[in-house]
Amino acid sequence: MTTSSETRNEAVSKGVVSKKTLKIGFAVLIAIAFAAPFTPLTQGNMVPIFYLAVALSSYLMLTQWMRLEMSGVEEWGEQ
Amino acid sequence: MVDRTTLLLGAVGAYVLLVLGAGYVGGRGTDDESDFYVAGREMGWIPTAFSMWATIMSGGMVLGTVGLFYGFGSEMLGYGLAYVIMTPLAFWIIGDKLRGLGISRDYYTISEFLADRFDSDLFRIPAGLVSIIFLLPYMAVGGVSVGIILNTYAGMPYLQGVLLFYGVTILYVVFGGLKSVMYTDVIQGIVGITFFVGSALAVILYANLNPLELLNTGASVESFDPAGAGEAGWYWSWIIFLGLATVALPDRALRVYSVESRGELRKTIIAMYAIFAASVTALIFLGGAFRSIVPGVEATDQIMVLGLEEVSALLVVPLAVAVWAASMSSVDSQTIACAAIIKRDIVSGWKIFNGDQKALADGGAPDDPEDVRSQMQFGRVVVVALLVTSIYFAGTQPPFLWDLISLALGAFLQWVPLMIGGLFLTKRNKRGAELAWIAGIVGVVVFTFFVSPPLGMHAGTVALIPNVAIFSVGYVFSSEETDYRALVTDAKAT
Repeated sequence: MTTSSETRNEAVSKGVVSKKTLKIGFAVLIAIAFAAPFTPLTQGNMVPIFYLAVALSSYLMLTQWMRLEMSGVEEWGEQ
Repeated sequence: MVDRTTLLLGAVGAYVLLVLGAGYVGGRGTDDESDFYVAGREMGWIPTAFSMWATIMSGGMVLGTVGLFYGFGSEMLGYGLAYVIMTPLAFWIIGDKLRGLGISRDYYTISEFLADRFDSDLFRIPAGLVSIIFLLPYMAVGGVSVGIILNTYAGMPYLQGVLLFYGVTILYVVFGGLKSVMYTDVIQGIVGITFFVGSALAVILYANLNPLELLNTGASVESFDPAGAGEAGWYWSWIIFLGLATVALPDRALRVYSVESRGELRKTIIAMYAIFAASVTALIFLGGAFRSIVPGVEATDQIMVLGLEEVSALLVVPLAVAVWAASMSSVDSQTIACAAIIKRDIVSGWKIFNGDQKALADGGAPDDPEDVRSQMQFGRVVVVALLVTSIYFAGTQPPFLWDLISLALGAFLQWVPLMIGGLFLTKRNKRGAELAWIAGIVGVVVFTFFVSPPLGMHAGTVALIPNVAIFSVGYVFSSEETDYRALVTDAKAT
């Protein structure tokens, strides 16, 4: 599906990310999850890492929900 | 004043009536096999999301998981990240295609897909029998949890509690199949999430703790030292083990097959994610708070009850209802999944094995439209037989029962490489898939009973290594292309 620039601009203005960004986001999440035990950010406490992961994945899920609610942006950014 | 026992029995009684009502309303109009096993493939995102969550939430999760957070602290965060990251991703990637194939190829079970994709009879009767063997103890655990709770806090004889639990389950599952199950799951799921979040808030307020410091003492950077990576191995293993096994369990597959459209499935996954995030965060809060409220408890499977009683003796009442809801929502789903496996993988698998081309072509669907109702009656008889078997297991409580849960999850996890390979790769790789699955199942048994898994990992996670290795080698040496990939592409648009 080709997305018109108007529809895409509307999606961007609402905070909807492209599929490519979404994939990168989930790759970062998985990297955070597996690297968490060794990152100096944890300072001995892993709970903030969990909150960070929940916050990031919540944003990605929310943007996906908005994508589903908007017509014309379903396949935007597939490549 | 009403005493706690009366209050508990009254709450459970009212809850049972509510569930039976939902089962009746949801199950009306169950007319054929498709209604009975996959809810007519017409479910929207709200019942499906709650149903997914309710199925995953078990009596063991309500009673035991907080104890793991209490006992192991941050190392258990792998459990949380499994449900928050890996499970939604797995459903997004695998579930989407599986749903479309379910419609176009009329699948009810995962092994039907594997048998079709890899053109292998191993994934019909043998895989069906293995699935039943692993699911039966799983179905008994729900009854055990309820029996113990009613016996301990309401004074009801254990066997009487077990019989009551399975009796109610039989009523609505036989009546409306998966349709009834999914409607009752909405209630069971709401009860579960309300209990987790509500009790976490009550405990946090009672203990006056800082949420950022919960579980702080559980694991330090030092304890994740790669040189002795036991804890880190366990943490990582949770992410893989739980995050991926969830998508391969037969009762979850029925939910994927039951969703009416691709968009509804995606909304289901997002809603399910939100419920997971809230419930897992609540579990973390509870585990951390109980460390402060009731420190030093060694029997961590008792911690949920001990901790709640410390805050208020009345909290045992919602706990009992939550255990009932969590157990029932798992057992009913597993029963329907088992019945689907018996019908499709074993009975229809036998027809296909004997050269019944009609059965092969239509996946075992009824030969004659007039036969539709009797096919559904067969499912009902199987459901009763399965639940009676569960009563036997729950009543006798064999000592190995709880160990078999991890074994069952590990065994179904072995489907995952085959599911991914089957959906995304182009070569047939029949032998590679068969040997990979056998190696995985053998690995799960060996690492559960005979050899300690390395790095503190789960047996199922370690067994994935030979599984994936054999599948990959088989794929490299496989030369035959399969036309199944085109079916997957077409199914995506369904």
